[in-house]
Amino acid sequence: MKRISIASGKEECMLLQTTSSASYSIMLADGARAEIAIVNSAPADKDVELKVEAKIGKNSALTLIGCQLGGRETKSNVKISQKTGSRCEHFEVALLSGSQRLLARTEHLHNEPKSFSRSSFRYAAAGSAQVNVQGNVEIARGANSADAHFVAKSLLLSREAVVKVVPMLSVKTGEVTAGHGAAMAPVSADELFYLESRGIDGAEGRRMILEGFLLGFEAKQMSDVRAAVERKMGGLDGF
Amino acid sequence: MGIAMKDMEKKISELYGRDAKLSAVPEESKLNVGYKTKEKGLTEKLVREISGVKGEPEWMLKKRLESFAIFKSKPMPTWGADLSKLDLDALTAFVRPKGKENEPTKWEEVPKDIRKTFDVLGIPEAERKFLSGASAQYDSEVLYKSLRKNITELGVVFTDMDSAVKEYPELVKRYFMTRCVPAKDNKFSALHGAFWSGGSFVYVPEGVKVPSPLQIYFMMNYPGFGQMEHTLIVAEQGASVQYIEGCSAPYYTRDSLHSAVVEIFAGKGSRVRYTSIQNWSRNVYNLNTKRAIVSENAIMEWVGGTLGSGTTMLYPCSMLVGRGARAEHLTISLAGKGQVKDTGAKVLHMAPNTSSRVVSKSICRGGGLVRYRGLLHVGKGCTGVKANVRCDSIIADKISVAETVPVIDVRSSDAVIGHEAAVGRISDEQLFYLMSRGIDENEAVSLIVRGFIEPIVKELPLEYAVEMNRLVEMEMEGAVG
Amino acid sequence: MALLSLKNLKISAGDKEIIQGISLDVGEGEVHVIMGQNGSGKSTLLSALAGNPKYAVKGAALFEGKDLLTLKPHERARRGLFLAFQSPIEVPGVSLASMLRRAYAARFGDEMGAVEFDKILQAKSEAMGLARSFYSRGINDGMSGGERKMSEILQLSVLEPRLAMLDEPDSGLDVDALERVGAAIGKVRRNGMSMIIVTHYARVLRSIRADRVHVMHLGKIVASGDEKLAHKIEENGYSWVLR
Repeated sequence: MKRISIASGKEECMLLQTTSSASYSIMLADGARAEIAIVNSAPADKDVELKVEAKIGKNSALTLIGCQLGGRETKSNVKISQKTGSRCEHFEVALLSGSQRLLARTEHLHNEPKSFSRSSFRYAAAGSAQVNVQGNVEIARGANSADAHFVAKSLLLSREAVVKVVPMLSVKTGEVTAGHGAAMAPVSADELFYLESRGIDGAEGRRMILEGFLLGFEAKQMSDVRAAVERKMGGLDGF
Repeated sequence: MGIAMKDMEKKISELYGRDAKLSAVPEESKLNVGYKTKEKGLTEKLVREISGVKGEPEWMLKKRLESFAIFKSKPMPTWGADLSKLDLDALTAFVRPKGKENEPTKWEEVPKDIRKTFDVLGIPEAERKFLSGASAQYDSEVLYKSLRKNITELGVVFTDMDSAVKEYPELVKRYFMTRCVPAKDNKFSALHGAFWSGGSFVYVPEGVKVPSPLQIYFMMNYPGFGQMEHTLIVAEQGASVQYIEGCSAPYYTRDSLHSAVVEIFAGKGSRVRYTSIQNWSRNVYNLNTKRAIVSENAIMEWVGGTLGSGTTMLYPCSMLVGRGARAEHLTISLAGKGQVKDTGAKVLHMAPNTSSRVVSKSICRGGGLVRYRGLLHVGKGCTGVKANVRCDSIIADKISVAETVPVIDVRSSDAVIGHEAAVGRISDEQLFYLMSRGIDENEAVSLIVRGFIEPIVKELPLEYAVEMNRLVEMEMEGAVG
Repeated sequence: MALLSLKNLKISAGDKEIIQGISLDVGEGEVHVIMGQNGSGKSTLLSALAGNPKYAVKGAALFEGKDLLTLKPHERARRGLFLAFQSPIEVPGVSLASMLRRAYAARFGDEMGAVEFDKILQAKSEAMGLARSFYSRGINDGMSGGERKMSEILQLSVLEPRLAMLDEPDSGLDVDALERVGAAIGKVRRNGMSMIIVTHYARVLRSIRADRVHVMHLGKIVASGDEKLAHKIEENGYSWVLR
């Protein structure tokens, strides 16, 4: 178990790469800010269990990035709880191929007022990979003025891949703004054509679109995350 | 200023009315009950008794007994709403009301107390204006029938299920609890298979388009009563039919169960719309199984509102088995104090180029709970699927709960799926905008709520739309009249 | 007596003070244009005058000689104070026609049946070149920016307020929409309606004459004048005023 504490008023950026099972306990003291990226690039024949527990203190802000690229069967369990006035941006990115499997469970609890969260999950599955995700964002009674939004998007890159997503939203008070969404679509033919009209051929076009799909968000350590994703993409045969 | 939460609650409370009022409750002894089963509790003996009284053919009795065996062998479901207070054995099945002997065919001949309830629901006008045929379900048996000639001339069959068993055995054998909702599907469908009574049978031959909606009303009028009507709708190739079911029940102290089954077969290129507005009283458990098998290029539409009852579990299911089949699910769900609405939509895309759209609008207040449970499944090799789900909830106060549990299970890489939900109370911005036009808070809330459910209400026939809006505004009162 | 009289108005949202003390008199039949850069507080001023619960207001505001600040938004609207929003919100499922009918009844105490009111609405729409389909759909539902602005002006023409406050009626519009909105405002103005128009640019003055032009900066009025002030800003920008 790796403990990560960010002290009050401090700001930190962390990139955690793991090639085997790992457990992280993240605590943000009041007013702390952190961006923590966890990249799973375990070898393709290894089963991995990942546990993340994040406690986000009053008025603090956490950007949590989970990047699932490796492992044979990955079980990921993320628990997030937010205190008053805190902000959380939770990005989950997965690119799986071959016969990789991802079982992901997320519990995200708003039980204090004025807590803000944006959860954006992006899954791309090639080969005969399988993705099974259950995310639960819960706004408890008393969490007034909480603002939560949860989106899960999936991209199936092959005929054999399977994605099952259950984005749950549980709201126990009306004094909030909450929403969730899920979307799935193939690589857009219009987008591919647009790129081709700029001289970018099919295969590279698909790569660009895939990258855009997975990494379309802002993060300080984006270049590191992008590098990991590109390495994985490099290993994929035309998809 | 700001609209304080408690003012908001007060306004919505005024809008929807106070808690259910007790309507006048006739004492058990004073009810004109012609026949009550001797057996209390659910036993094989009871199954035989019911079948015997109905004078059913041997094959239907056999089906019932098979279902009963399955029912006995299955445990209660461990998910969904809380059913611990439901005591199945205490229910009494099957009541034949007085007057069955001389079945009336004219509205005037329907017993007075039934007519009164229908008056309150505004049925007589509807009957005069646009009913094609209406059967009124009164405690398990059909009391009143009126079929217009042109429907029968088209070859359309619209009759009660009990009669259909005897008059159209071949059709019933082919479709009744075979492929669509077999008894083994779940414990309550097995219960239903053993004890079903009453309901409608609709058969529309090939190419026939039924010009106006077929309607039916149900009343649960006996305490501790189990309503288990079976609706079977078959639309052959190219046919088209609309079916409307409205339900109401007065208030009783003992718990009642509504465990109906609706089976729909939409043949190739056919179009079936099933509209159901349920406004049971608070002590009812509403646990139904509704399912449609949708063939090639057919369109199945589920339109409904579940307003009343205590606990509802209802997940209309569309099985899109033919290429190009399409399903639309439009529902409104309201949950007030002490109510739990665990509802949703199941769409199984089992063929290529199928499409579906689900629009679910829920409102909860006073501690009520609305839960949307959706299943969107796209099978392997089912290319060209487009599916969209929109489930929004308004939580009117600090204590009510809205949950959304959508399961999106896709095994085809080119499926285009969208799912969206927005949850929260009525937007301050919208309120301010309307008030800045001189509309006061109460009315603004009312307008916004009506606007919220408008996509569904606009699909109801005009009189139902009016009725639905009225019911939504009065919903929390529950009782009729 | 001025139609609207503001004395040392201070407006804040939460901890932030946005308007730092504004005094302004708008006389009957006058058009006042308020210009300023983004963040000057000009939209906040209008929104708060309409009664937006987001804002806390201190100071004095009299409308037709009577205190405005104790009134709720709908009471202010019924007295004849109208706000045309900069980005009007959607209220899906509620048709513009049905909403206007109620608003009209609330303002004039004249409960009309739908058919009767439809005649009025149709006349006003046609005068603006709008089809019936425009007002029979949900409020602002699926409407472009330009259409939403036209919707606001249509509402204005139906409800005939004593004082119309227009929040950037020209922002985000293409050339054609600008012309139509401008013409619509001009038409309504011709009946002598009093107006406060908030705008970033002086474009709107091509459609109507302004009696007074004010410039706001950081929550205060820093300059007042006539139309020449607006033209000068159009030519030279804002910086010379703020020096």
